[in-house]
Amino acid sequence: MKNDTMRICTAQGDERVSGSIRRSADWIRLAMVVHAVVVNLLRLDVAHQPVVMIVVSSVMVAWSLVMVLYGRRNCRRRRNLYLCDIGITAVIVALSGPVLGTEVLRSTTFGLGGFWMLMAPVTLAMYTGSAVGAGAGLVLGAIQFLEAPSLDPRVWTHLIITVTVPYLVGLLIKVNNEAIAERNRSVATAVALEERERLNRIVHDGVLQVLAMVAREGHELGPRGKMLALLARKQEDQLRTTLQDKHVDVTKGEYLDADTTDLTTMLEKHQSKTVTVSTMAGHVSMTTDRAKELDRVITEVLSNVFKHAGVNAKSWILLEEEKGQVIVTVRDDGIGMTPERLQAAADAGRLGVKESIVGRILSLGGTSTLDSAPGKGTEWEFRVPLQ
Amino acid sequence: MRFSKAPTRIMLVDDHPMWIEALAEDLSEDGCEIVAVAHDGSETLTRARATCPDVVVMDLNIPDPDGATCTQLLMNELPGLRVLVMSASGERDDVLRAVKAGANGYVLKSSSKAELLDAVHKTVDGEAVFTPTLAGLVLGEYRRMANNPSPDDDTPSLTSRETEVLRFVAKGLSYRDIAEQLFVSHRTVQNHVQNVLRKLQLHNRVELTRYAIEQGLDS
Repeated sequence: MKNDTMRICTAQGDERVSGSIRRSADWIRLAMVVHAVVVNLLRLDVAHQPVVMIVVSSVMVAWSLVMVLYGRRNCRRRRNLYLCDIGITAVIVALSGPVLGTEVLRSTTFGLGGFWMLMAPVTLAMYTGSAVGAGAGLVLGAIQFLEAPSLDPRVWTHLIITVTVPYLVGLLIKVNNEAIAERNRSVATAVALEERERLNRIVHDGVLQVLAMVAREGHELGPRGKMLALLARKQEDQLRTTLQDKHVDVTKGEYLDADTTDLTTMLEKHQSKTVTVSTMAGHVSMTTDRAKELDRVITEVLSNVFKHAGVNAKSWILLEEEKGQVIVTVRDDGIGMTPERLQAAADAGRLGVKESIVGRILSLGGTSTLDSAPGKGTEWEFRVPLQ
Repeated sequence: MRFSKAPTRIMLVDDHPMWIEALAEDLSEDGCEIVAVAHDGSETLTRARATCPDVVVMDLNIPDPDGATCTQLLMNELPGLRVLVMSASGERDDVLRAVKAGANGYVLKSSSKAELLDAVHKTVDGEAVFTPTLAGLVLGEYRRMANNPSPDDDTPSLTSRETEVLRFVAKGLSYRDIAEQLFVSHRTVQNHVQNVLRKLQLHNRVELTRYAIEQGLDS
């Protein structure tokens, strides 16, 4: 139980005020006590009770050192420490009148504590919040004001300072802490995303390997095995396509340009049991609109192969880049066709050759060539400018 | 052309034990001897050095160092070694790197058992395994080099006949079909393909050496 309280207390202390802020506050506290002592020594001859003043100044120095040393550890008693701080400061402030004499206090405007008296409410504000700090500041300011009430602005202005300074410090600490918490949350989210991405990669890789294995071995396991092999192959292709179809890579923080499409990745999606895709390494970028249009043509050609070239027909897609244009060749080893038949089909619009293939390529500013002979398969060659 | 007396000594590299098992079974049935298997890059390097296999069937997607880097390192150390790259689609850059480093060929993981065995046999015989996918990659690489020639003017280029042959391979034609179309012998087609690969690998060695000299690593 005891340990728990300790730990929570430490955590709270660490969370609220970082080490660097606390150290700065310590240095300011020491600077302030030096200032107050110097001010007191300068008015030693006019003070009513100079001996008491020296004693009080010594207590201030000693207490400041205690605060600096004990403020860093012993956190279980931190609350008591701050209350003592406020109490001792209040006593010193209250002694200002009797020790200095009302007239001296009024004319010099500084109490025995000088600006040092601000440190207690400021520290309280740092650790417990603006309101408490400002309240303590108000009490201390009021005590000092009542020692030698005056309408002199230099006297009552102290009251404003003793309230606003602790309030502002508390506010800054709060805003700072909120920003840190927000940043921590973002970092945690990013780390979690990255980890999930990593796990995804492992899982996906495993799934792909198993699917590929089923596709490979299934053929030897009878008709059912064959069916499984086909299904596995299809799923493997689909999953691979999905994995390649990414515009954002979380782990690298890369945002791929959505206005352009990489033709190599686009064409690779057609890779399947019957379609082999050959491209170069690296990327070939084309604006997405144009790339999509080109892809529709390829899809149309492949669907024609499927419909007309025979069940066992295989296709090959080759992508080349040459002087600002791409050359996409789609060849199949199907039954092929005679020129007459091709012309007839084109006239009847059955193959979709005119509209969906030649027309689309023309609108992209490209050219298409068709080569086919009976038993020799069919070959389309498209030359399309990249821009 | 295979040696009947001594079985081919093969090493298998793949991070998935399932694949290693399946490949080992197929290759053993075919009369090969599996002398080593490895699941990651460091195992690959130590075991290849220890066993000196005839052929390494290399998956590119393995943990540190990756398959392409292993190929580079091993080709430098064991000049007689032949590497057959086997990988999933979509790893084009790595495949190209491995082939430039001296790998003899490339098959997709999705190829059938028969295709795989054929590729291993070809590799054993020192023949390049030139799948359409690899032809596309090599063609693209020559195009890239032609567009950004190196200042020393020693960039290899393809003859028009070689380009023709490569394009045919990439479009899925068999060597026999190509020979028929071009009115040359099967052997000539094979020579063209082999040449294309050799030029690329030689250029890669020259580039690496030049880089090493520039970086002061040669001393």
